[in-house]
Amino acid sequence: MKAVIKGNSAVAHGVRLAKAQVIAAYPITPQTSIIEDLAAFVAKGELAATFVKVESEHSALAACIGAASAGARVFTATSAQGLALMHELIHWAAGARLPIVLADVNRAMAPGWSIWTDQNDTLSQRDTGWMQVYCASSQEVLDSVVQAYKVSEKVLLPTMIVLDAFFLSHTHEVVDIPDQGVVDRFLPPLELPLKLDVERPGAFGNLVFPDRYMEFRYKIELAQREALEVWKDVAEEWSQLTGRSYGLVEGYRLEDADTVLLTAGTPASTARVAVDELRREGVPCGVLRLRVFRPFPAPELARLLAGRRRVVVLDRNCSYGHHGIFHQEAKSALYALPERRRPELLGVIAGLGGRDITVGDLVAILRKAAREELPEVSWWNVLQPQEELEAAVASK
Amino acid sequence: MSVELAAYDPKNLHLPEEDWLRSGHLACPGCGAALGMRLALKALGPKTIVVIPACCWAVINGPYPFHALGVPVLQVAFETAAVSAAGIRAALHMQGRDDVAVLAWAGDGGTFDIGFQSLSGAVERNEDIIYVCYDNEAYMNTGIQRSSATPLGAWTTTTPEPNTKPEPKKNMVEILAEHRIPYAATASIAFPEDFVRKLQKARSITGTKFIHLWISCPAGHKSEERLSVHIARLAVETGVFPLYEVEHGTRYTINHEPKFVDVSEYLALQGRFRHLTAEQLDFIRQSIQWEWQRLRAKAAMGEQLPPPPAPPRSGMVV
Amino acid sequence: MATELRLDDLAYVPFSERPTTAIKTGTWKYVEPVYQNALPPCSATCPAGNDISYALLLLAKGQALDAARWWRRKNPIPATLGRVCPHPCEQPCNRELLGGAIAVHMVERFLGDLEGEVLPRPAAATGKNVAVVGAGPAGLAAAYNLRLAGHEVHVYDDKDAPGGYLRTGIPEYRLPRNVLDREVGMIASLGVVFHQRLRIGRDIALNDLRDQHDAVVLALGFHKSRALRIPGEDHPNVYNGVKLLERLLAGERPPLPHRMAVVGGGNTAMDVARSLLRIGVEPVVVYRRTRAEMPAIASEVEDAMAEGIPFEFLAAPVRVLVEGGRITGLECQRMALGEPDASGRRRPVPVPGSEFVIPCAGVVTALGEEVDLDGLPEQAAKADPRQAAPIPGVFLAGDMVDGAGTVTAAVGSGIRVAAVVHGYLTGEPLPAEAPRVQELWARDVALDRKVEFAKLNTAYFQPVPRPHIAHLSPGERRSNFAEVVQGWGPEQAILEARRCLACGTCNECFTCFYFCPDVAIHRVDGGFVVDREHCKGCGICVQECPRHALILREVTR
Repeated sequence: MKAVIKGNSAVAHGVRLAKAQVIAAYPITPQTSIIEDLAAFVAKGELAATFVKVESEHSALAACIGAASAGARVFTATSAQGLALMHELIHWAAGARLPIVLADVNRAMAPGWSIWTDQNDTLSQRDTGWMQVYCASSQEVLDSVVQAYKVSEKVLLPTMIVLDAFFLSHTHEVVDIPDQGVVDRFLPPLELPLKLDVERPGAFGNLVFPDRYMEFRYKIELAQREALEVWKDVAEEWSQLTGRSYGLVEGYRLEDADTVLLTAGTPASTARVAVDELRREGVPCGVLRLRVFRPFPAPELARLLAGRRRVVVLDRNCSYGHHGIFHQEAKSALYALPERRRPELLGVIAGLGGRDITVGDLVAILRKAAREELPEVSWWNVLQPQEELEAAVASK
Repeated sequence: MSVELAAYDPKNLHLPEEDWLRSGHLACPGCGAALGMRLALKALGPKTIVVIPACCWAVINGPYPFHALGVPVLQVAFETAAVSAAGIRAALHMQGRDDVAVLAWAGDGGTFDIGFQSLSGAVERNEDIIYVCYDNEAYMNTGIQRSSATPLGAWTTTTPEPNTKPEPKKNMVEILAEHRIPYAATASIAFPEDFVRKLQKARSITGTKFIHLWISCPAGHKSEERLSVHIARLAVETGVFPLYEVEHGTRYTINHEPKFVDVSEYLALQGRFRHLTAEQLDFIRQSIQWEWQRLRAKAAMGEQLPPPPAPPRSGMVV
Repeated sequence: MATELRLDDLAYVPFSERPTTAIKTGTWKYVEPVYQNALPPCSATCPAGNDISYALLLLAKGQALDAARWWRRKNPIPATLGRVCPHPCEQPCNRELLGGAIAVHMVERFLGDLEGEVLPRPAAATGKNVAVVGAGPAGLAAAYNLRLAGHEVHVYDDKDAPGGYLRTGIPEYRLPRNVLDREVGMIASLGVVFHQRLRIGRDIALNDLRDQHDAVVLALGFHKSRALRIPGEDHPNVYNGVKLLERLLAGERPPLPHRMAVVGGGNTAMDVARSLLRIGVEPVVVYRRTRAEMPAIASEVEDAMAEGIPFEFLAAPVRVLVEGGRITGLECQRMALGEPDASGRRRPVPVPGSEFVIPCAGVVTALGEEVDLDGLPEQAAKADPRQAAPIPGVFLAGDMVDGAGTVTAAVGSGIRVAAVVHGYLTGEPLPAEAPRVQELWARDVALDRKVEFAKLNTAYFQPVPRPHIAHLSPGERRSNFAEVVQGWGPEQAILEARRCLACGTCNECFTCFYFCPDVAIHRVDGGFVVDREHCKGCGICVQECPRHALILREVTR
């Protein structure tokens, strides 16, 4: 069934179709309509779930951890401050190997208060053991939520589905909402290998001495590595059911591109238009969108970017003191290439706090890059210190 | 001559004989928290899932791969006992396992302080869980730091002499009573039948049940290990810790009329009170009297009030 | 171990399933609890050492026959003692502060009266042969215990029937004859041979007995009354209390004056006075000190007073007034109480010029008794601390040893001498002194640990009142010798046994079991054991034990 819905609604439909049994969430702009939709589904009987209307995001994830430990399929959603408040339990959920699915609507961190998009909230959770999927359309949001349950329940790691505030969360698009039967064929009911069970009374979370702790952390790493393949398999299966396929990364007009824009989230869609425009001008460029960020598809990046002249990484985030985060990650992936096959890597930080990244911006960035005028690291469309301005004038 | 007799039972305590706590756990000798758990599981039996946040019991249960209980345990983050239990309850409900009790088992830190928000939230939502706070009146697991359950005048490592704790203890049951919690009660390891009865009663009630269990801590109270039950009994018999229950926040029942032994007898057995000043002792004596007046007044008021109207269940019930 | 384990052997999360029982936390402890029976104040005080708390425990469980058999383990005459013993055991009873002392004597009487398999079996025959002289309580106890030890026992006694003072000195309203006869019969049924109407020193010689037996126990008792030593004492209506009582108890009814003064404050005085009352004589008791100093059993004094017998305290006879051959009164002098004497009682001091007359037509003297050695060498009555006489193979028991003057003490003395004689007969060196009678009950009781009230954990006890003991009304007692104190049925006896605090004796109250934070006390048949592998030695069980049946001891490794 096709419908024109918001990205947030796409999340809610995905959760409904996945038949989540326990939902615990706390509202925060711009996530709020996700849980409003879910509350409505439950109230109308369209989703047989218990919705625990907790008093904080911390409690939301705690309730999910409890419910998942008891073997329920669970869901929560949040954004920015809420995700940060969950941080302790973000670690916990992964350490406990619980297949929780969380939708985070990317929002900038305060202060000052900002409700608009950037990626620093989710990227701050990069090292927790969660899988992260950055979506670029409402359809992808819905499909990724359903897929996330399948992958999470296979490798026993939680997944964060990430969508940009407003550009995706509140933008209406045509979305094909699959039939329940399709999803049911794809996603069987959850059966955890170990759960809270009065018939098998074990303890989760007891003290682990140094002689064992590392082994269990190593198993998280192994599960992440396995997940790279599982995401591909699951996408393939989904594609056979729905005709919609998703890779770990998604390329656009890469065939002969010597300049590739690497980014994640909705700017990738904008970038396609920019690339089309530049291609018309004869600039051989393309887009590579990072979809699955954890596990990190380093081999795919290396394969697809090897031998290009340059790669421009557009980061809607910053690891202060050391570049954009995707920039760093791409660098680490490309380092595996022999030096002659290694493209030049340029980092651009843009669009923080929801500042618009327009087609014009991306055309300008790529054009500058093609002219070799783009510095290795730069902040786009931001007021510059006086001396830098003077230096820029002087160089002309 | 033949003698017809009723069966002789010399038992001082009438409790289930079966145990769901195992030997070999890591509690200190004379630990009231271990005894409390033993009694709690006697009351609740094997169809129970226990939620343990950071607290002494996180260690007592034993290091991986050991487990001290014959029931499932989920160790959870410090501040999440109540809501984690609520999450488990939600899952069990969806699985049709409402017969399984979910017991949140937290210390005073995890209840009075860091876990208070999630507890308040759970009680407000009337989550169907049993919450037991085993209260040893300080952060004992980290080595005796004050909590908001620490009584006035007590020494801890963060209230060292002469700056012993200036504030009186927070009254948790009263706070939760004002949430209109269906059932709140105090209990003591020295009154095991009372504690077991309260847990069994709690199990029969749908909604949130809170039991404030006073326990001894030889290491933290600086008391003799063998006196753990004795001191707990004195806490009750001096009037320091009344045994009572509150239904729906209004109906009070005082379960045990203390002998009102002079509180100095209780304080003298605990090194943490060694340096009490005359003014502090005087305050403690006055507080006992005042708190009992207040408790009796509440009990009397509750008798005059009808039970509060029961909120109707609304909406989609899964 | 770590080298054998592979990553795949570990689950994906640290899921803990191994019971902590594999962790031996018992190594933490430096003290540990030990179940050890301690000595209750009742048994500690009982002159016969009766193992009261254990018998009461059996009775509480409804094992009345077992309880009766336990009581007869050393004590041959509980039915008798339950009636005549002044029950000093009840004085220190820890129940006293919690509703009133246990009526041990009533329970003893109930158990003593029980019919059935209540006798222990004698040990295999030893081939040794003992003579016991005197069939009073000490002799009976010695004979009984020696017989149970497997020896052949012959009792020589100068009266018509065994029982000694029980038969000749205790009225039937306190001790019905059938009760005594039954217990004597039970002793005989074990194979003890009684030779009556043979008086040592007259009918048989001590040396003959020594020749015919491997050992001789002398238990002659005190039968010779002390004299008043006042003018007029030789009047025929001045009677020797012991002898008069013996005649009355034998059924004689000599013509006695209507009003008689009974001089003395002991049990004989009470028995005489109360017996006289029952045959129509008006007795008046004359005692030189006050009621508080009376050596008689308090309940006997109470009963005498209840029966309306007048008492003249602080009065010492100075002469019997005789006019025209008839006694007209007993002149007495008022006494005042001075400093305590050797007995610890305050010495009566005459008040000058205070003479007065108690009108009466007869006087009975009951001033105390002593041993009658008529025909025996003086040294035969000299006991050393092991109850042996200076004559080889001769041992002593009863009042001859200690002059304690109670039936229970005599029984205790008999039990003790039997142990000494048994050792002598089996070739063991004689001990430095006779063992404490409590040890001879041979239950694992730590005699050096007496359970005072402060050692109990009274948090576990509620006051329960002492039950009523029915007496015949004073009116019903006149003119007959019916038993005054009414016995208990099984319900009352069992309820009373259940009131016993079982001081120092584990009665399986489960307190230790439930309060162990380490689940290290395990239930076993008939009690509990400490799981030493897991007990951390906190001592809560010891502290909480209501009855001090647990102690802490240092761990020896």
